[in-house]
Amino acid sequence: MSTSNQHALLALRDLQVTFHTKAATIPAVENVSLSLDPGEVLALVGESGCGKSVTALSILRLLPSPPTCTINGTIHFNGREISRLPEQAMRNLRGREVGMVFQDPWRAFNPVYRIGDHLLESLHHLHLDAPRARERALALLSSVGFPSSAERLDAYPHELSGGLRQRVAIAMALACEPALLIADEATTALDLTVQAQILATLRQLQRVQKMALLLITHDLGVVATSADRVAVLYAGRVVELAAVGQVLSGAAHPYTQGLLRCIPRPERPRGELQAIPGTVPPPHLRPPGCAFHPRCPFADDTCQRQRPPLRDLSAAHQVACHHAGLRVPPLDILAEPRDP
Amino acid sequence: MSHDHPQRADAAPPSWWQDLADTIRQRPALRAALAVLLALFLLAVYAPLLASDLPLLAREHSQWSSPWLNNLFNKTYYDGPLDPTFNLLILALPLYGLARWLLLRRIPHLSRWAGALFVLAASWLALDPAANYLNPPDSPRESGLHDLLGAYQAPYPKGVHDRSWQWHLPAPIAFSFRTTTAHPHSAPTWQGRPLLHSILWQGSTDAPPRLHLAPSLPRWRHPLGTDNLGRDLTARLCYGARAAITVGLAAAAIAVGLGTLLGLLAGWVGGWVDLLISRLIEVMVCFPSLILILALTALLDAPSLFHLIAVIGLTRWTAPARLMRGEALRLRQEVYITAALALGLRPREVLFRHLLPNAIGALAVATTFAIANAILVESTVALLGMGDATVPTWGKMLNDGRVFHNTAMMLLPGLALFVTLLAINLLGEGLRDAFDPRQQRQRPPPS
Repeated sequence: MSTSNQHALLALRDLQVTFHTKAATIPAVENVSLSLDPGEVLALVGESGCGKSVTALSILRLLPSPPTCTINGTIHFNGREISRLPEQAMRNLRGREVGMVFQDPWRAFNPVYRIGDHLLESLHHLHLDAPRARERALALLSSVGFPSSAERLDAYPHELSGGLRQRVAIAMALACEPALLIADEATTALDLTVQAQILATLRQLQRVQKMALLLITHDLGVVATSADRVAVLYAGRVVELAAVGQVLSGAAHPYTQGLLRCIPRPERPRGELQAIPGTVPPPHLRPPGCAFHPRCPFADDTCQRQRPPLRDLSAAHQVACHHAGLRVPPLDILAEPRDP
Repeated sequence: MSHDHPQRADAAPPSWWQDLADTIRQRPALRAALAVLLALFLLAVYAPLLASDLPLLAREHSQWSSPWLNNLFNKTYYDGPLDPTFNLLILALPLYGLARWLLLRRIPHLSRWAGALFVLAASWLALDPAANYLNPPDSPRESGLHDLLGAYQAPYPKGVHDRSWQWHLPAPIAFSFRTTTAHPHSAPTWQGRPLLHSILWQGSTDAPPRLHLAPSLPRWRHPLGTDNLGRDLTARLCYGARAAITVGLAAAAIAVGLGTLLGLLAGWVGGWVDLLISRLIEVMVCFPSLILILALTALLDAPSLFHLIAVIGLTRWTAPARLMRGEALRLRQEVYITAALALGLRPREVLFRHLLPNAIGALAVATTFAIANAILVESTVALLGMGDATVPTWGKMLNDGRVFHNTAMMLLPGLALFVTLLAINLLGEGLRDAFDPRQQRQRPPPS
């Protein structure tokens, strides 16, 4: 694979995450290989249930433990293999070198603590004394564009709007100036305008701090405005990996093309919204061969039998499809304007 | 340190506890329950000041003395460590209040030092009765407050009724919880009772004749009358509050502490730890706990109140354990728990700093129910005649009344139990609502 980049900040190789329940063994993530350079923004895109969040959580080993899970493969961070790291070393990594912002700003805060308490807690790696920690917390809040910070330190999370809360969450994740920030659907639960502001803040901070950003999203609009590279996940595997421009203009995998056509475009005439037929198969019911073949317009016998490997289409464009490069016929025919 | 930034300390927002206090203030039922419990606590602490057979102040041989004060920590007189420990609070509460009022007015940051000092002093003083209880000396020891308060007193000091003092100031009720009125001015006897007495304060006519003094009508010396041994019921009720508070708090502390620890561990760690603890809970639940408690007390020769506390605490932890296991299972799914772990906090820190405070509503309810339950169980054991015979608990009083077929002797402790348990349960209900931070607050939202 070409992901064996020695200078990469984060390199996942053949990452497999398997959940073991009494009923079944569920392979949530299968053979995902990704790399992320320092200061780069990589977007992880896919529908719900394709393994985006599981991938992100497995990097920090934060997967919930009641369904016991096994993580195979290697995770290199800053030149260190961290997937076998002892728990103690992992704790030093979390929050200090890798920050994380969660999807739901309504649930990501402990309701019994004030915003200030949360921020101070995020600074625990730095061992500051109380007044300095408070100053740093205020500085963090103003750096994420939080208005009138001093008073809001004393506010409870439920007294803030979702956008403000997400700004606090970002401030907390950035508290120890991590080299990598994982934003797990960080803007999904927000209004569009707020979403744009948060993304701009994230992007700006990422540039200023020269921090790598792993942006997990299912929103290609977010990808288009914020990401440098895109990895498209389907059914626990990377199906396409390319620079953002290549994906948006010349997506090679039919699934990526399908995703792109799902975006409603204001310049197009009104009509039915496009959708990819069918749904993502649950992890334990993935079909043999290419997991996308039941929903793919180009599927043939090969697709049903043989799983396509991730291959280089061009220098920085990889795709896992037997028919890579074929364009999906424009289904726009179905959505012709009704009135001439 | 915050000393360097007084202007910042002044601008500090109301703390979580202040918010909680605000919430309590807005709930009438909770306030009433708290008032009742506070009154009960004060009554328990100041029981010797209200009812004692020792003169508060006396003059004899042209010398002033206070037999009451001198015997506050006399374990032989009080027959055990319970009352001397409570008596510490008689002096400590006003001293602490005074210290706060005097010191904290002037030096704002001294509060935590004063508090720490108070706790230290109180525990040093409490160690003395505790040590004496665990290791009863052959000869009376002179230590702790005895040195401070002067000479050691005779084990059974002469009281108001035994000695003709030159002059003395008795307590409002000049009887302790076990002073029997066996002197000429005793109560009107049971045989010669008036009509009203026979209706309200009746002893059953079927009762076999006993070699007891009869329970007496309320009179000015005995505001609620006396029991069959001529002991003042008011005094016994007040001292009974001490036993109830001790049993309730201590047994609940053991039960809830053990239950919380095991329950949280089971829910948080999961796996075989959960399996083991859950099975242990199920095994414990299989035994009817009252029968278990009775069996365990029967094993002990003469169970003291502290044996009973240990037995109740060690058998009643299953309900809080189950509750806290459920809370841990529910709360560990929360995103903020994962978020706290993602900050690199230790699992222990996440468990106790993030998970436990969110379970505190459930914990408060569990604790209040555990307190009420412990008091009730102790009363039941005492009612069955298997409790600590030396301590005037409400259950013991009920049993005395039951044996003697006397309405007043059963009605009064029963009423005290009822009011106490009701107040505790109301408190639990109120706290459950008050601890929920998502409840509406009257605090102005930050603009």
